[in-house]
Amino acid sequence: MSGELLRAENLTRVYADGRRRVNALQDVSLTVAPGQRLGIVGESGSGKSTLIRLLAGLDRPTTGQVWFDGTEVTGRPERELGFLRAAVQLVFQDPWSSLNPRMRVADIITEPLRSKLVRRQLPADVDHRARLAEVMAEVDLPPEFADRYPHEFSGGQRQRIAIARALAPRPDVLIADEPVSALDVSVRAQVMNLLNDLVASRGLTLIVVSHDLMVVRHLCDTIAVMQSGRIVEHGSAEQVYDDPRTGYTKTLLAAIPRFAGG
Amino acid sequence: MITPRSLLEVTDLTVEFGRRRTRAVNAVSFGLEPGERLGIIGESGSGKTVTALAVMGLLAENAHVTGSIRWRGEELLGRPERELARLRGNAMSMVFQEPMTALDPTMRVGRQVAEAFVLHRGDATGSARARTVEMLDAVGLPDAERIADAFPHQLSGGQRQRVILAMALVNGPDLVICDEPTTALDVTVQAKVLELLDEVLTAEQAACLFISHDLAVVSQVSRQVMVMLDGEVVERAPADRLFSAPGHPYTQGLVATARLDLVPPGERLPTVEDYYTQESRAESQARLSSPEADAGVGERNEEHGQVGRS
Ligand SMILES: Nc1ncnc2c1ncn2[C@@H]1O[C@H](COP(=O)(O)OP(=O)(O)O)[C@@H](O)[C@H]1O
Ligand SMILES: Nc1ncnc2c1ncn2[C@@H]1O[C@H](COP(=O)(O)OP(=O)(O)O)[C@@H](O)[C@H]1O
Ligand SMILES: [Mg+2]
Ligand SMILES: [Mg+2]
Repeated sequence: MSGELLRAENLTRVYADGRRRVNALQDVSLTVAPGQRLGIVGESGSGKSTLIRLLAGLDRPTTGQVWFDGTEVTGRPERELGFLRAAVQLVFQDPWSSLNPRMRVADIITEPLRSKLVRRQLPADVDHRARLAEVMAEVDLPPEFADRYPHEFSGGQRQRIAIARALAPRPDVLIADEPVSALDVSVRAQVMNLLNDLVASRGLTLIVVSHDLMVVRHLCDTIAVMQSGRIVEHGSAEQVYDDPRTGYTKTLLAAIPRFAGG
Repeated sequence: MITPRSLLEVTDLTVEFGRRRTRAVNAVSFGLEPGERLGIIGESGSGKTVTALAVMGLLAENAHVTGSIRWRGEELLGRPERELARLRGNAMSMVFQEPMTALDPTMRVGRQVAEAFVLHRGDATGSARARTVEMLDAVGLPDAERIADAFPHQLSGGQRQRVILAMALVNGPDLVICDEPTTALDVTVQAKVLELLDEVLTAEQAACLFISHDLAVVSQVSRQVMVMLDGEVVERAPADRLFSAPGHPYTQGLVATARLDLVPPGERLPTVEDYYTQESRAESQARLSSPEADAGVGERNEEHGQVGRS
């Protein structure tokens, strides 16, 4: 296997927002090695979600290229992106809106397995029921939840459902966009522990987007700091956290609320 | 036998919703002295916002409120809405989490601040404009004249939250209730807004009820902290003691799980359940919905209803 699973080169993304043009990404390059755990931090509007959408092939850059495992993603029509759809799965911030309220948990979790593009990438004999039971066990959801609907569950349980769905097609890369930002403090730790366990046991490559440097430091070995559409600092989690090189990273670190007198 | 009078004295506050009387807040008591700051922590649904809204007299129509809320010794429960409206925004004001919902999108923000002022002062618009600009300036908005003429959508989240703060402070209230005031803001903006809040509260010598799920944020604003769990207050203590030596197992769990900084990266994080199990929680919830608890609240209701009318 090569030393890189994902490669992005000179990505820019310009949104036309009415008459305004928004330079959401400006000349962003980065690589992600297999098994790496990359954290992307920055303030709202800095381009984090735009970047991961490009890496996952859900959106196209204005200029620049993305490769997955040596194959170029950019410029390829959707019908040729099956390899990426199976290998890269996403979990989003809001467990309230990211799950279809009219679908049972079982159908939500096995949905990726039924996607035409993904199906062609998987062995022909995947048993959906068996796979469902496996991933539900992996995320600690009781089997009897399978026949219920999303509204019956708490935020933490919904995020487990979303993670189970992402795991169903056995992806190589899990991309999580603010996975714990909407969760209560009391379930945040549970979901972070789950992500850590899954990454270790499945050998997943992880990309976590968060506005919270503490979350990223805990989950990731590498951190990229974004500001106004650019990566302004990129290094090991230890270095970025303990010995930040840029003024902006220092500002972010200094702003983390700390316990007064403790 | 003259004891110094509390600013706010909440006793046995119980709030139930709807015809099924679902209890959201159960026999909550706390007091606040002039200038004192009290933080309220607890997971979502524990009753923090409902407690704050009860104090402000802003609960929905379907809320059934019993107990007692005394403002400078006078009962607020049972008072007509027009009297409460006079208190609100004047003696006490509130800052909510989402600044966009608290602002009228069709009105320039300066006018909104001025209206809050004029409403309670009956002042001529000339002095209201001056006071508005002064307030916008005081909450750290550069170029206050220009900001006053902007519509809410033309401002950033941080700027909007400062406008809300200006509205909440324009009448020099004695109590400011902040409900997750910085949760929707970026950390750098949050740090500035918290610093500013501290400054203006100190300058105005206003008391503050500060609600947040972020324990570190609470520790920066409040010297006293109260912990809510399933509608009840389980603990109140000085902030430094509560965060260094929490008493209730639930508080121990909340504090442990908030200290990401104390756990080496990648290691298992402590959870609330490590300290306060689902079983003990279920037990106390069963106790809460038992018939004896209902009888107790009924008695208190009558007692304080009389006090309110005298
Ligand atoms: N679909 C879109 N149309 C127009 N502008 C957009 C769109 N999506 C994002 N933007 C803008 O691009 C910038 C980066 O956004 P985003 O990647 O969502 O940032 P982040 O995830 O870091 O908060 C912001 O200025 C945002 O307003
Ligand atoms: N208007 C309402 N009608 C019915 N139930 C409500 C209403 N407002 C709040 N509740 C319930 O009261 C409980 C406490 O809510 P809240 O005070 O908002 O919690 P917190 O602010 O601690 O997250 C919750 O169970 C909530 O669902
Ligand atoms: Mg985003
Ligand atoms: Mg609330």
